[in-house]
Amino acid sequence: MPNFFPRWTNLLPIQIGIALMMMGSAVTAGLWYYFTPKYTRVGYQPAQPVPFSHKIHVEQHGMDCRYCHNFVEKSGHSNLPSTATCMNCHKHIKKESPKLAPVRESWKTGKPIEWVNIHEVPDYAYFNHSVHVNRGVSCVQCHGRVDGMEVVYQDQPQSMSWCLDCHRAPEKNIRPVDELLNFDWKASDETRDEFYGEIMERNGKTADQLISVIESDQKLRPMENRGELGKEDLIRLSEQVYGKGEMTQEEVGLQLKEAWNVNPPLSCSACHR
Amino acid sequence: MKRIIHHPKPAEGEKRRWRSLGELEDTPKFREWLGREFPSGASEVEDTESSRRNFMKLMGASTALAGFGVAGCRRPEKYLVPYTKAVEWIIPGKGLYYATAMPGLGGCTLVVATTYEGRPVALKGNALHPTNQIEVDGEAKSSSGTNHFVPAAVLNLYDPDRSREVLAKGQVSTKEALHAGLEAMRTELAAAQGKGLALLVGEGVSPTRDRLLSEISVKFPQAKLFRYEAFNHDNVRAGVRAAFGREDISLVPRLDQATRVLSLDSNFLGLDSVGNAALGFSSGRRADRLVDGEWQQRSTDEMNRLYVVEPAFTVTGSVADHRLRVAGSQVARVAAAVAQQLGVAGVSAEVDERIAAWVKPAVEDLQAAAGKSVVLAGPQQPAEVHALVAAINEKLGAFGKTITVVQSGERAFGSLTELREAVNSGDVTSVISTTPADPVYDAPSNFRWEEVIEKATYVHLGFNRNHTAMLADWHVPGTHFLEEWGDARAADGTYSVIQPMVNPLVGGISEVSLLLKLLQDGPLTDEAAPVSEDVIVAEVKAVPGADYEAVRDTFLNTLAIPGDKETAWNHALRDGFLANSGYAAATVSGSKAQTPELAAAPSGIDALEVRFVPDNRVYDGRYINNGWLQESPDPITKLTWDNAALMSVKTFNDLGLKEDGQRVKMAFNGREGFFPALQAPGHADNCVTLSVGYGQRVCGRVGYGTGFDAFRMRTSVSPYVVSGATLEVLTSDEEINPALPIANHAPKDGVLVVEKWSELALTQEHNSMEGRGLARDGGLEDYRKDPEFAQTIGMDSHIPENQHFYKPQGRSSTGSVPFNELDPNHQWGMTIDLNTCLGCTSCQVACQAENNIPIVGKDQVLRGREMAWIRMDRYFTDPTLVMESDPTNHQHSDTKSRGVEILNEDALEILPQPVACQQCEAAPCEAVCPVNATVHSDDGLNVMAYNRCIGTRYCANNCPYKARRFNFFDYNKRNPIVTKKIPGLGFNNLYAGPLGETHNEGIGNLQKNPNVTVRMRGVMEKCTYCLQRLAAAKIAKKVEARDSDKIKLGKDAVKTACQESCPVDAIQFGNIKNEEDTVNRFKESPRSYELLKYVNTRPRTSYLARIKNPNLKMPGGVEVGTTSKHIH
Repeated sequence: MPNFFPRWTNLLPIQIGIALMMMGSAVTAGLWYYFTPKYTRVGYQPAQPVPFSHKIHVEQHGMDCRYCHNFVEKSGHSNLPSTATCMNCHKHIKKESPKLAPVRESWKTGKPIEWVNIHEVPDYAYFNHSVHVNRGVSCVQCHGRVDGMEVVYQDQPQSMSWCLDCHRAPEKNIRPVDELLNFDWKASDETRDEFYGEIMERNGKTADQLISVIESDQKLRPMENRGELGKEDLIRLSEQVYGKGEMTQEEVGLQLKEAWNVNPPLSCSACHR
Repeated sequence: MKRIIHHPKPAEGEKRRWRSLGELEDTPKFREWLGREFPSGASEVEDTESSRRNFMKLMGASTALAGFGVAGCRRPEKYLVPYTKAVEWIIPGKGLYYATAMPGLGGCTLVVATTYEGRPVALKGNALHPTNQIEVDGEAKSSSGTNHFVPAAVLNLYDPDRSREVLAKGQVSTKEALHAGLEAMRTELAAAQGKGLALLVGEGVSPTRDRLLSEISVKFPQAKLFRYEAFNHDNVRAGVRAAFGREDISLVPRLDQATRVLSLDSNFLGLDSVGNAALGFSSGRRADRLVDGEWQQRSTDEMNRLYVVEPAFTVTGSVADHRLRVAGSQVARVAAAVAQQLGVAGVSAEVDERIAAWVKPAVEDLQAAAGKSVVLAGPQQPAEVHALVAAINEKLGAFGKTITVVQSGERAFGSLTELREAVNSGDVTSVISTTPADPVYDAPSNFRWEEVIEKATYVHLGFNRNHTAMLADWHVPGTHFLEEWGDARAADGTYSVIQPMVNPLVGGISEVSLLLKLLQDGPLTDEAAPVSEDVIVAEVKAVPGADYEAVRDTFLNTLAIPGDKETAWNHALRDGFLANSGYAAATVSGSKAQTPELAAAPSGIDALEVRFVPDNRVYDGRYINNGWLQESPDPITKLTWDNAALMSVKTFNDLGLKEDGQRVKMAFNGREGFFPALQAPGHADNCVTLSVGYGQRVCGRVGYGTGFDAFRMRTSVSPYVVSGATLEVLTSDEEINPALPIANHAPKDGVLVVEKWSELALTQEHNSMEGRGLARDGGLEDYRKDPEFAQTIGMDSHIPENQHFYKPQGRSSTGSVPFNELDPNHQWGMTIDLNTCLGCTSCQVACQAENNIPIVGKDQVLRGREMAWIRMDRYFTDPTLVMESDPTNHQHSDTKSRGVEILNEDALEILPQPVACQQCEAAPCEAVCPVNATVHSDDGLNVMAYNRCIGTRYCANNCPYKARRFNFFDYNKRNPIVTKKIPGLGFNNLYAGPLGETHNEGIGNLQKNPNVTVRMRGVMEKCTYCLQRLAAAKIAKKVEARDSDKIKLGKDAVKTACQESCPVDAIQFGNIKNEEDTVNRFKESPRSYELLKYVNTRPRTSYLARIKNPNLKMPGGVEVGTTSKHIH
């Protein structure tokens, strides 16, 4: 019986197998990347009916987020401003601007402006703004530097795993409540002396307690015969642990988390109910 | 290894509790329900009229449709629509609460409406109101509980079939035409001094309506006033008039002051409730009290005792310590016997031995507690009985103590009989009717109201497009009480404001507005434009209408208000009522009474007695189109979507009936009607109870075709009780002319076939649980002797140490599972006190509203697919019936087992038990979910991630409590009510998939609670302990805490929907990690036990055993409440 298949075909099954595996991985990798919110969502920047610029309003005029999104601290929804809110100023400023025509139209007819939704939480997930912004999560962490945006786009994937990253380790993201609207804030802006002083004062913590937080987090053996420890000891310890230089997010977040008892729910029912 | 739980079998010499006669007899059908979470066939997509081929056709069609969808791969643009002007108080996403009032018979109910962005989504009672505040053992308590009609009423607002258009003789007309018609009528009447004008109003007292009626009497001096509702207080008022010769007083029972109560056919805990009787009664019903943190039993004199004389079991009868079943006509005889024994002058009655033996010790007991005892008569009892009861109460020293006499000063109205005569004689030529009743349907059938309507110009204002609306000269769409300005008085006379939550959704005007139009001089104009269906227009212009001004006028000018009137008005709007505006107290004495007319008791099955009673769900028919009520099982019969002829088991057998649902032809008064027969254990013999309100021919889609019209059988001679009825069992299907008056249910496609058998959607056997000692009770004496008796009933006294079926991860397999500590601040728990629970199903309806639970329709209920998260189990027990042997050894045959033959219907007791998810700590359901869709939360809940559920239903199969519900269809989207067939396919709507009709297009969706996911097809669901409320409370606390660590909720911070709606505070819920929470006191109660404890699931819900307070001198008194004791 003649050799039906040439010799080179001996390797064919293996080659096909490898090729299929590679294709499979490519497809998986492709799906992984292109079908997740990281790709599909981030950067979504639809045209809005009114070319509203956050950059002008926030960066140039220094308006507070809560002037327009006034219920963000009270309600689950961060509301959009009513037409009346726009007209508070625009009755007097840029009265004739063609860009504002839809706003004036809405004001006249009573028909609301239809803004295009960018950050969408699916119906089966529940999200509450108030509990985040009151407990140390700044607007910037989920929405990016909206203060510098001419046209708003989605900055973060806002996927489930992205949410969970923070719920599992809130210390990576929380900041002092006074700095929530300071989008430029960095942990390194804090000084140990002031930061610890404030926690001790506001939350009624002793230096000893704050030291224990660091010790248990770093799994250090508690200092022996420590007696009465003061703020200096605390600062000394933290410099030892986190380095002499600037404060880190890890250090700030950990202390805030412990001081405020921040325990984001991890159960499914937190968002799905 | 698979472990099988061997539930203990009943032993010889033991007593039993059963849910249905099927369970008592242990029929194969019952075993089927018991053994499976879903009955056979429930899980297959199979309709009697469908086939595999049709299924393939449909699947093909849906795939084709899906193809069109793929084109839209791009993310659809969605819009965010803010208000143009922010509305005061509204914070998007947060609920807003307003106080208002729901008018009703015997005084309005004060309610609080929860609104989201202007949509009212839920109603509960107003805990601030004086009738909702009570003192229990010196501690002030308030309750927001109501009956089940209150939470259900919000659905009526969004009824897609409610009246929208003006009708002229049944034809759609316009508002302009109506205005022209009304103006002509007004001019004509004004010229004739109102001669010929009659106003027909409903029950209930409204000061503004009264004021406007007075003004109408001035403007039209000859106008006449009438009042009508099918179930009314006419007999009560006539009784008081006969007893005291006074019209201006009414009697309000104070049940919190009473320790001995005798009810003569009065369902005062249910449909006949006046004021908040259930709350008052429950405060005296408590078997124990807390003294310094310890539960102390009350004595038999401190705990109240209830005697009930009634023909058919009611909610009240099921709570009774002693119940005497007598035919409806014999209640008067019992009343006379009671009066005779108390020495009421000139009253005597012969009673048979059974009744005499019952009455004697009961009356002695009432007498011994004189001043703390009260006798109540049902509103359907004749006036003489009410007069007699007034005399009895005077003898018992009840007035001023257990009965408050108030000066209600009610206006006198004519009756429907008088109106009919006036119309027939030509005295009345125009009728303006604002009564919520539907006289063409519910008036006595000999009145032939459809002919009366013809003789006068009839203007009908109504919320529903009902029978009267279709025949009236003008039908004016009415408003729901959540859409109108008005006012009403509660039973104690407290003035309450009805304020609108929303502009009329589909147009319509209120009663006050209509009366104002009559009084107005200028031309009539349209006041409120209808709000568009799809969008609740944000900018509701709060222009005060004439109705608002009228109500305000009444308030400011006719009420005695101390202090600043404007402040008082604002407070009344905020609180819902004006404080201290109740009726003045009055004193009465010297009641006159005589022996009422005593009819002979029905002696056999050839001359039966028939009673007409309001229905527990549709009441007098006004709630016919309310799906929540239709699908909430009757508290006693567990019947849904239907009514039936109820009769005792003995009568049922005597008549030769074999099975529930067999059709009988009933004849009396020259009228015939067809009804399905249903055994109602504990019913009086030779007597049939028909609940009315069903079988309407003109109503919405939900109600159409449900039940049988009993109103047609009623005549004015004896509207509530008729004797001498004959009954014939139908042997074959009968086709009848739908035009005949005997056609007592709605025809289908113009043809009316009465089938010999009708399928009744009874839920009594659905989700039956294995195991015994599920619902527990005991006598007060036993409880005092052995306070912890409830904890050792059945298997609970000898649970093996190492039984552990579902151990949570990382725990040892022996000993009791400890509750987790994952969330050190919050661990939730619930207790349900069976002692006060009435089984009224208010919790069930409130749950349905809160949690967006769909209705599934009769067809699906028959398959055991009802979705209600709370299942109200109702157990019967006959404490005199002792098990002879293991019933499972019975040879099943057609003959009934011995259990039914020797059933003593005189001694029957009912014990209700609401069962929802028990939130087990070692939950069997969690262990079997293949996709981790049901998991345990840190705060101890057993939670469902709907989006993860793939619908294997393993969890439901593994739930020993059968507390899980599966969405076999997309009930929220597909309309389960539509029976319309899809052309070419023999499917009903649910089975038609995407080709079917969707549901709730438009206004129906507005009722949905925005905080709860609307579940779709293929998803398992169950009670979540109102997770959304728990989360909202925790979030609110965290927001408040901000940069502090005070995130633990305070005392009793959260209430679940069922707890809020419970009229008797039987449900307690709270944080077991917070010592202060009330729920912990109840968990510590010696009566507390866990359901199926021996399975060791560690449920978070525990039950408190019911305690009966029997009078040992009563016949059968020693047996009362002894069933549980005899469960080993």
